Amino acid sequence: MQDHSSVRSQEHEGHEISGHARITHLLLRALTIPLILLIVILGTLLWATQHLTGSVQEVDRTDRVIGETEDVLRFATAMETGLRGYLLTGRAEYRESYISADRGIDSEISDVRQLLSDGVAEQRLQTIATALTEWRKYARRSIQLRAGGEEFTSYDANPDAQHLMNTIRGGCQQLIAMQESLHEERVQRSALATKVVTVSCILLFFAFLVVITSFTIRQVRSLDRVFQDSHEARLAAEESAQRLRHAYEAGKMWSCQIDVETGRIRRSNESMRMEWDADLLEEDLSAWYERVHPEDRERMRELMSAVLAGRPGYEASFRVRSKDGSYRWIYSRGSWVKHPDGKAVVSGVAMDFTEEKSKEESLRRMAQLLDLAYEPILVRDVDDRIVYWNSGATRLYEWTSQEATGKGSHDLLRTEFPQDRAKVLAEFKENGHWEGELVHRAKSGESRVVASHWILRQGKDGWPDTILETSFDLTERKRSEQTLIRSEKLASVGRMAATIAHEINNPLAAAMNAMFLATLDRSLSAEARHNLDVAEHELERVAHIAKQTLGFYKETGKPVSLRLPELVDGLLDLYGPKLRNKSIRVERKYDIDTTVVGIEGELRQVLSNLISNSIDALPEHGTLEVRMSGPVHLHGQRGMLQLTIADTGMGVEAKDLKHIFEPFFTTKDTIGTGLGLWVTRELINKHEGLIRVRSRVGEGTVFTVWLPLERRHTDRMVARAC
Amino acid sequence: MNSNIILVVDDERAIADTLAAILVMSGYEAVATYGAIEAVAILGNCEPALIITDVIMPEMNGLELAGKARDMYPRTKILLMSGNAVTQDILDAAGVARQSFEVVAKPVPPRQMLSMVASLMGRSSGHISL
Repeated sequence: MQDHSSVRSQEHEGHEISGHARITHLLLRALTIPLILLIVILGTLLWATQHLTGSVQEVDRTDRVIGETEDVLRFATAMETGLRGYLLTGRAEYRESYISADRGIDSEISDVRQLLSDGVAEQRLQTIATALTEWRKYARRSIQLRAGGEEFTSYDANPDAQHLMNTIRGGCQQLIAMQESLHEERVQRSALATKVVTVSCILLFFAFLVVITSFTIRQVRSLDRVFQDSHEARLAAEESAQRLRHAYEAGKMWSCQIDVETGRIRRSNESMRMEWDADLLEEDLSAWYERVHPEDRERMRELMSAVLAGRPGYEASFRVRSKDGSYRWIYSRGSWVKHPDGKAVVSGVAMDFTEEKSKEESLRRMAQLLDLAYEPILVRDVDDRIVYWNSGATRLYEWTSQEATGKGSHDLLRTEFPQDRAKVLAEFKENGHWEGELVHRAKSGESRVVASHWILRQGKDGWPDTILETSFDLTERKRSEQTLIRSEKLASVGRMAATIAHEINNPLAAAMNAMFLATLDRSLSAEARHNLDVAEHELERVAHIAKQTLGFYKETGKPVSLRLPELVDGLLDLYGPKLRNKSIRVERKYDIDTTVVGIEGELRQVLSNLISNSIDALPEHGTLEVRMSGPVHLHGQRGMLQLTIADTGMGVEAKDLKHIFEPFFTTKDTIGTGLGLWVTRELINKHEGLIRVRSRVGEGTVFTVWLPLERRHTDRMVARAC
Repeated sequence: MNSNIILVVDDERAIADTLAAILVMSGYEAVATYGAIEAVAILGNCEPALIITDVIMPEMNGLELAGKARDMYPRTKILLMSGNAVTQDILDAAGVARQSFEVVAKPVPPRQMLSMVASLMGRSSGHISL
C-alpha cells in the first residue's frame, strides 16, 4: 500500500513539473513576441521623432539663416545709405547710422556662419564677407577723407564700391534664395517623414493588434488550459490524498517513516484518533524500542537494524506499550522508498489489531476447548464447506483438520442420510436444527454410525452463516447390537443344536448299534442284508451330519485369551485318525506367538469346520497346510492374526464359490448340511474377524481367516517396533 | 481279576445293551451297566480291561467315574463317549489328554467303535467274520 501511494505521488509530482514548464513556456511565447513588437514600434517611433525633430530644427535653422541673412542685407543697406548720406551731406547722423550698422553686421555674419552647414552657402557667405571687408575699407577711407575735409569721391561716383555693395547684396539675396529653396525642401521632407511615421505607426499598431488577437489570445487560452489541467490535477491529488486518508481511517492505520539519518520515527496522524498514542507523532527509535514489549523487543531491534542496514522491507506483528501502560498489538509492514526530494526513507504502514487479536485469542481458546472434546465437532458454512474440525472428528473420521478444512463435509464423509437428503436439508433449513442418525465413512473407508445434531447459526446480518455439527459415535454400540443379534441368532441355532444333539445322538447310537447287531444274523436273506446295509449306511450319514454341524456347539462362554496354534494342534490331533486314514500330510507353519481373544468353543468350531472341510475335500496322500502369521493390518485396522488353511483338494467352482458362505448351500450332496461355513463366517464376524476363500478346481482351496490380536499384545509389539 | 472284561456304562439302556451285545458278539467279554454308581459297585469286584462310558449321566457323570477307575486301576483303559460340545469342553478342562483317556464323539458307528476297541485291547479287529 505504501509503495503504491508513493508511486502515485511521484507521478503527480512529475505532472506538476511539466505543468510549470508549460506555463513558463507559454508565458514566454505569449509575452516575447508582443514585447519584441513593442520594442520595434517604440524604436521606430523614437527614430521617427528624432528624424522629425531634426527636420524641424533644420527648417528652423534655415529660417534663422534667412532672417540673419536678411539682417545682414539690411545692415549692408543701412551702411551704404549712411555712407552715401554722409558723403553727400556730411551730416553726422548718417555717419552714426553707418557706424551702428557696421557694428551690428559682423555679429550677424558670424551668426549666419554658425548656422550654415553646407559648403556652397559658406562659400557664398565668405564671398559676402570678403566683399564687405573690401567695401568697409573703402567706406572708412571715404569717411576719414570727408571728415578730414580732404578730397573725396562721392559714393555714386565710385563704381567699385557700388559693385562691392552689389556683390554683398546679391550674395545675400542668393543666400536667402538658396536657404528659401532649402527651407521648402526641408519642410517637404519633414512632412513626408511625419506621414511615414504616422502610417507606419498605424500599420504597426494594426499588426500589433492582429498579433495580439491571433497569437496571444491563443497562448492565453493554452495557458488557461494548462492552469485548468493543473487545477484538475491538484483536485485529483487532493481527492486521492483524501481517499488514502479515508483508507487509513477505515483500516485504523497510519503511515510511519523512519528517518535513517536522525533515527526518528515519524507517524502520520490520519487515523491517530486512537488516543493511546496520539501525541507520539515523532519519536526516537531507541525510545520506541523501550516501548516494545520485552518479549518482542529483541526481535524488533534485530529486524529494524536489518532494515536500516539495507534489507529491502519488513513485516511484523508486535506489542507496544501505550500511554496507559497497557500493550497494544501492532501490525506493520514497510520498505525503502525514495522521496521526491531524492532522500531514501523506510516507509511503512501500521495498524492496531489488539481487539482482533483478543477476539482471535478467545476464539483460539474456545477452539482449544472444543478440541478437547472427545466427540467429533465440526463447523461448516452454508455451502457445506468445513471451517472447523476438532480432534474428536479426527479421531473418529481419521482425516486431519488440515485435510478436512475447506472440503464439503458430505463429500468427505460420504454421508448416508436416514431419508432423502433434500428432505433432511429442507427440514434443517426450516427449523434451524436437525438431529438424526447418519452413516459416515472414515478415511479408511470404514463406516461410522453417528447420532448427529446440526444447529444453524445466524450471522450478524441475520442470514445463516455457519452450521455447528456435533455427533456421537454409535458405531461400537451398533456393532454390539448387531453382534448381540447375531449371537441371539446363533444361540437359538445352538440351542436347537444342543437339543438335537441331546435328543438325537443317543437314540441314533442305539439304533446304529441295533442295526449292526441285526446284520450279524447269519440267517438273513441277501436282500434283507442289503437293505440293512443301506439302512446302516444312512444312519451313519445321519450320525456324521449331527456331529459335523452340531457337535461342538456350546451355549455359553466368556471370551478368553487363546493361543490359536494350540487350539489348531488339539483339533488336528482330534482328526488324527481321519488324517491317517487318508494318509494326509499336514504342514504347519506358525510364525506367531500371540493370543487372540475369543470364545473357545466358537473358535474351535470355526477351526474344526475348516479343517474337516479340507479333509473331506482332500484325496488320499493330499496335503493340508495350516499357516499362522501376524500382526497384519487390514485397511489400517489394529493388528490381526492371519490364519490360512489350504488343501490340495478338488477345489470349488467359481459359480459355487460365490455362495459358499450362504446358509443351506452345499456341494457335498450326501453329507453336507450347508450350514458349516455359514456358521463359521457368522462366528468369525462375531469375533470381528474376516474370512476369505480362494479356490481353483483341481488345485485346491485356501481359506484365510483374520482375527483381531489381543490388544495389549499388539500394543506391546508396536512399542517394541518403535 | 479278569483283564479281558469291558465295562460299558450308559444311562441309555439301549445304547449300553446294544454296545455290550456287539462287543460280546465280536468275541469280547462285556458287561453293560446303566449308571456310574452301578459301575463303581462292579469295579469293587473286578478290574476291567476297558471301560467305555458315556459322559453325561445323572447322579455321577462319566468323568468322575473315569477318575475313580483310574485311581483304582491305573492299567484300565478308559474310552469316553461325548454327546456334545459341552462335554467336550469339560473333558478338555479336566485334562483328559493328560490322564490319557480316549474320547470319541457320539454317535459312534459300531465298526469304528470295534476298531477303536481292538486297538485299545491290543489285538486286531478281525474277530467278526461276516
